[in-house]
Amino acid sequence: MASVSLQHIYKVYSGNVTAVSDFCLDIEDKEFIVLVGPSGCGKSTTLRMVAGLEEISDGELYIGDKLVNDVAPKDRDIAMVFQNYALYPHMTVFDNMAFGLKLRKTPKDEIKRRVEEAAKILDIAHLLNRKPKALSGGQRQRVALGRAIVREPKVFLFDEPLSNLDAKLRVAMRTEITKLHQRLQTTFIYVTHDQTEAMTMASRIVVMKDGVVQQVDTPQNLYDYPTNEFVAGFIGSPQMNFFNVRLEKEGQDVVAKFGNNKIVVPSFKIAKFTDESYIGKEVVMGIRPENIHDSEEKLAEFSTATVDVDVEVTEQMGSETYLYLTTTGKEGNIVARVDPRTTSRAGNKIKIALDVNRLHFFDKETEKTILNR
Amino acid sequence: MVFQREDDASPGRLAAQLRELAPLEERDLLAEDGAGRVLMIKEGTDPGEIAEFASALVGTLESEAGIRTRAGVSDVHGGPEEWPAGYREALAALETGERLHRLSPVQIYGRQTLERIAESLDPALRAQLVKRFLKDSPEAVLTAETRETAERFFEADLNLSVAARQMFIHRNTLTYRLDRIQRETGLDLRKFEDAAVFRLLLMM
Repeated sequence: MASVSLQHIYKVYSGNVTAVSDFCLDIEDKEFIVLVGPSGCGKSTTLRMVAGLEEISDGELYIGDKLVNDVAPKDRDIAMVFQNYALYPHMTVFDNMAFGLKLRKTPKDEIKRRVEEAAKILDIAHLLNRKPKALSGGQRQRVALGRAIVREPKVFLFDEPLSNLDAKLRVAMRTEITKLHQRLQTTFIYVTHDQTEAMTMASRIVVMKDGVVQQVDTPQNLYDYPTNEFVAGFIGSPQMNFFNVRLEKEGQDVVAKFGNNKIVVPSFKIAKFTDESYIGKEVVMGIRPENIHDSEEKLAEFSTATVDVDVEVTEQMGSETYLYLTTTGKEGNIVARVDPRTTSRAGNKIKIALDVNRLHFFDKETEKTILNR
Repeated sequence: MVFQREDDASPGRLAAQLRELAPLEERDLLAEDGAGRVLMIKEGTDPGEIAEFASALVGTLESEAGIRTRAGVSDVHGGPEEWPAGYREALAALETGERLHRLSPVQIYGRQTLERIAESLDPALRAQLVKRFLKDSPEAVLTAETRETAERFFEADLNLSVAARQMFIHRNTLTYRLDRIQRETGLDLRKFEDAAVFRLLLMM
């Protein structure tokens, strides 16, 4: 078990291509950190630098108290689980799991103890004598996890380990890995492009884009207090709705105007603005789909924040219904996640209410939030 | 099998690491080929298993030694008299893979039939096919994104959901990209025959 500290880490490839820029993060012992972001954002490169599989161009990497920039991968006391979990086909599950330990000349009885214990944790004890071709995709992935567990490393590194599994198995393995973390009480660093995986598993999430850390926070804080438009749009599905609005003073109120629509912004939100001078300017307003309502009750509750919309499409998901809406002053659809008993149907002209307590505002130029927490 | 380092570092170290890390059996052999590559002769009869062994070994080299390698795997051969042919096949698989399938570190000779066909086509016929489907601007049509999209889609046996998942993109994004390829080339990659033609075009 160990903490991991990345201090001003850079990865620059030949041709001056910067894959990771000024990455700073202190990962505490036993934390479950998830690096998330779109393809090419630098998350796998960062993980590979921690593993020692990529050279660090600049900065310092500590595992525990030890500076490990120049330490070989096998000497870093880490174990990595890749997306591609190829197993040696001629070896049994036991031998595949034991292979790394044999390379390290671990005594036989110790190997047996560790493999059997890991197999028990992963519920594959009954498969130890089988060859890989007799295993399902999920079982093979468990063996790959087992190979990492038997090493008893200080830090586990996972690089998109579930992306080769089908949707159902992915959800099941997600839970298994979370349980595994709770049981092993070891530091986990996990890379995924999938924000749902990140949200469900992490104790803290690192959102990356173009090699730069955008925000580091708990899943709920990322969701509730995104630091910029990218994070706001990346975390949450369907994603947050964004509107180009103009903030104007009308009497005692501040209103956000777009198209023919006008939303009264509550005073407590205005009080959170980082700079009052945004009033009178164009900003980006964001609201999540679940904070848009079409019920009479909510229309009454948020009567100063209603918008006339056309319903283009409805998607019934069973537990909820998605409405795809259009209105003046908003390019593309507004997506609302409403009660499945909604009476709104495609082709209807309806009113929706925005929960003004849940509005987000971003600077139009910098795309950063203009709200203090 | 022939193993080659991704970087330019010492080939001698690759041979030493393979000797240390590969779970070789009694009749398996390792030899350096004098050109920085390492030849491995592995006993077995199932080409799929031998390819899986190569994948596992490439993974072991990376995770244990931090060495990134590519491997070419030949067909299964008999006695030592057939080994030179196996070596040439593994090398050909490696070279073809390096040129056409950079994303996959393990290349299997027996699964490169279309590549062989593409290589053997008459240059005039090649030019004719390129002109017909890629017009006058093959580079503009065959962008890196288009190549990767098509390769992943083919690897997923034309399964939209699987390919989208492995590319970490939404299914609709993949559909959009395939529609764009269809607009630009007239080939609908969701149809087997069109997919086969496009695959050949990628190899030309």
